[in-house]
Amino acid sequence: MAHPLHQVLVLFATEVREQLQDMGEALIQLDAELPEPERKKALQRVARHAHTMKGNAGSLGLPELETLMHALEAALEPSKKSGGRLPRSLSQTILQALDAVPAHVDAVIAEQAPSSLRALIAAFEAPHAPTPVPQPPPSAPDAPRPSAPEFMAESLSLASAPSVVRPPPDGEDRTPTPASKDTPVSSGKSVVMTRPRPSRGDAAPAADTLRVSATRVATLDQKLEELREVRGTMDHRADEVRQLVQRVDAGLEADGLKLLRDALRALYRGLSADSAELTARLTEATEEVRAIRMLPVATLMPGLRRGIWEHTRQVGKRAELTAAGTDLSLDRRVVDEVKEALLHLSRNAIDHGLEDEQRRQALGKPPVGHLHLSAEARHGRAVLSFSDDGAGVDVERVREAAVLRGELSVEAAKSATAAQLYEVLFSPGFSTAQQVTKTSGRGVGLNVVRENLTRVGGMVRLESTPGQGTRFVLDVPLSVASAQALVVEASAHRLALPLTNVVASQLAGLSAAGLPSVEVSGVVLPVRTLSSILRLPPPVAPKRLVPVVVLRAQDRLLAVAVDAILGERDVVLRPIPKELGRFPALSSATQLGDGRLAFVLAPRALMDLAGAERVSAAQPFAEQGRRRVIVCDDSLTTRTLHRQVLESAGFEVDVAPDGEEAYRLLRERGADLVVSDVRMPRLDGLGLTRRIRQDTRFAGLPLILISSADTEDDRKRAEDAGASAYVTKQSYQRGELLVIARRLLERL
Amino acid sequence: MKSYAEQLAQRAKALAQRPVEDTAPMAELVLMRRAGVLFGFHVAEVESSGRLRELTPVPGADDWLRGITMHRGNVLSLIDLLVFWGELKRGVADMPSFVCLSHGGRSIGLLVEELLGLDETDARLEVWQGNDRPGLEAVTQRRGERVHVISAERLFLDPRLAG
Repeated sequence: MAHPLHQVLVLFATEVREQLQDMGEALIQLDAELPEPERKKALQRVARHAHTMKGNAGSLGLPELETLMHALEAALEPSKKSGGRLPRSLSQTILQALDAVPAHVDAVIAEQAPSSLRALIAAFEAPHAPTPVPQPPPSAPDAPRPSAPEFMAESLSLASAPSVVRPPPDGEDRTPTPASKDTPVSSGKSVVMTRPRPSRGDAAPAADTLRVSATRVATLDQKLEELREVRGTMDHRADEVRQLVQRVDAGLEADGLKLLRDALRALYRGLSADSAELTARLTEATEEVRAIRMLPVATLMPGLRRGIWEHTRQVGKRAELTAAGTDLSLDRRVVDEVKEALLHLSRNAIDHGLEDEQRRQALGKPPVGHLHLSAEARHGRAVLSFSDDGAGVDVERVREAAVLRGELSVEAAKSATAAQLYEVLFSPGFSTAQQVTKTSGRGVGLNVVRENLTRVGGMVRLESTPGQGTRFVLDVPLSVASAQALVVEASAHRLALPLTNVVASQLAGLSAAGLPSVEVSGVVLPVRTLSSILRLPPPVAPKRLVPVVVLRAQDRLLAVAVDAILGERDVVLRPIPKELGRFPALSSATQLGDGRLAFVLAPRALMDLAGAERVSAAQPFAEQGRRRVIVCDDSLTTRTLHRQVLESAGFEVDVAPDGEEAYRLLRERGADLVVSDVRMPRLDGLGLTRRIRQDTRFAGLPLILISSADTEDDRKRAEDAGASAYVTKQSYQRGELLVIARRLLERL
Repeated sequence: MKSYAEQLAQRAKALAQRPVEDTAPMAELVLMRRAGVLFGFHVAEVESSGRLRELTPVPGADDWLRGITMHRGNVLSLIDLLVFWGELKRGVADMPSFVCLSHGGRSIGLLVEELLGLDETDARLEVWQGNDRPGLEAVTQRRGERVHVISAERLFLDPRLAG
């Protein structure tokens, strides 16, 4: 029988999680060397939450939880009187309680027998030895320190060196506290949502808070996406009517048909107007609902901070975590995957990256290791960077281990670059760790991190500098519900390729030997047909010119020939049934405008099937990383394609929808090259060129204009305005943009 | 010896009793036909059935996995059970209907030629012991015709559908 206060219990579960989260934050602060008033405040927060929880638990008929919180409150009393210093054994018991309480409450909600809290109650009631005032760490370099396995054998309360996870310095993101946050916090059953609002001190957000079932939000979002598909079908129907009108116009001029023609025209206009209206409404509604599904990166911070704190205590190291850009919001599903990835990477960094305190001091590094998380939106995706200032990856050890494990041949390992060796670290089961700890060193981690991120369309790569540290770059979509895709046809199958993986598309001529090769970023790629990779029958009538799409995933490139490129679409990604999991190249499905389904392909898996070669030395990111290009075009699609072509060649790219914005970016951030369309709103390409040339700071800046117009007059106008080069869209298809860009930059 | 009147009374009494009827238990199954074979599905496992509007083939799939379609907002795989069992090489082209089976949160579509709807069959099931027909739970009769009773739960146990 359901609990009589089931609905209230669900809310209570959410509130409890908020309170426990803040208690965890307060405990971390108590462990740091804070002045007494701040320590007392932190202790007071723990006590206040325990008191509130005790009262609520009593009201809801949860006697064991009520007793537990009472015992916790009582256990805090001696610390209140001793300057807020918490015995280590007590803080450990509180941590165990923080972990146990949510499961206890969830079990009551699920009408199951809750786990007993008696052992914890007894632990709180037992006497806790006061923690001695911390002394500076021993400085003798040969002071014996237990190894990691020895630490594991000890109880947490015996960890010798205190760890520090400091509150972020001013100017950087702070983890929101329940009293001030604008962020959703998930419970097992519901989502607490608060809309962003202007800061009003510590005003409680309750009036602006909405609690909605996560399942219901997901369903609502799904329904909206279905409406969007209806809009696609309407577009298709409107197009059919337009074609009918054209046929009537062409061949049926009899008077009797005039009425029919007029009616069809009116219908066409009406359908088009309806579609536009529907699009506007749907866009608003979808954005509104999608906002509900989004969670700021800041929601990851408490768990990450606590994970680091606990792990540093376990292994006897010290680390501080700082963060920036954590107000960036991501889809809940992405946040879930990123959360697990960051926890793993932080444990990795503590175990294998950060040196112990003595070693750091000997190296002239600050005694406390530094971990930093930053997040930023880039080109419709989120890029999260997690770095440490530890020893960095020992490339030679990876090289040896790669040979020993058969990941690379001796010859391949000898010639492998650091970037290639870093990739080996993501292989299943790979580890160079000499010691296996409870949480890392078994070589299952990085592979799983990558696999989990791939599930939500993300990527991860590693950068490292010996002696200075390691950085993991996580590139994930902001939302997993929809994406931009290039729809192609291969052997009568319509297939969608994620646009974020499309580097270029071009026509290539068949050679005498069969399929051609294409050159991308100086790399010559053999062309494989998509049909052959997917084991589809070959096309009936091979063409002399075949469309080729170049895909990129991590450091691999693949050129695939298709029968036709049908165009770019905003597609709704629909999960495919479990039984299709045997086809790794199929990641999801989407419904196209005519109502038929198309598979969305997974570029990484496609490359595995095709045996795509890795491109050498990760040249795209290293060689020309300092070159900044501004791409200016009013078409989002064109901007995206230019950006991908240039980024794949190693340029750093900013984009602007018109000349005004491009000029603003140029003045504020500078650039080594501007690539601009000619026809644009506000300030067109010619106007932008003239303005740049009038600015003496940019008189010599290379500037390429791209246009579909290809007359002498067009070229003359571009030249007169001051363009360095004029590229037609036809020649751009042949990859001329990169050639000209490099040539212009070489002159600098 | 009984008198004639007694014999008449006894006969009258016997005639007055209701005749003994055939009381074989009956069970309700959702029936479909594919390639002349009659299939029965448990009502609880039939999510829906209907006419097939679109079918998108799966690149590189075996013949039994005929494609996917949109069904009530979700992507549904459609299989040809007789090809899945290896009793037919390829499915026939015209299979305009399907039945959507579900169990344990999973769904799958079976292509059929004819939807017969809910009907009574002999509830005395002959349990299928073999392993060569995944999903086949039992065989029973309906007006003298064999009915192959399919269990979605059993069908999902086949490793080819495990994903």
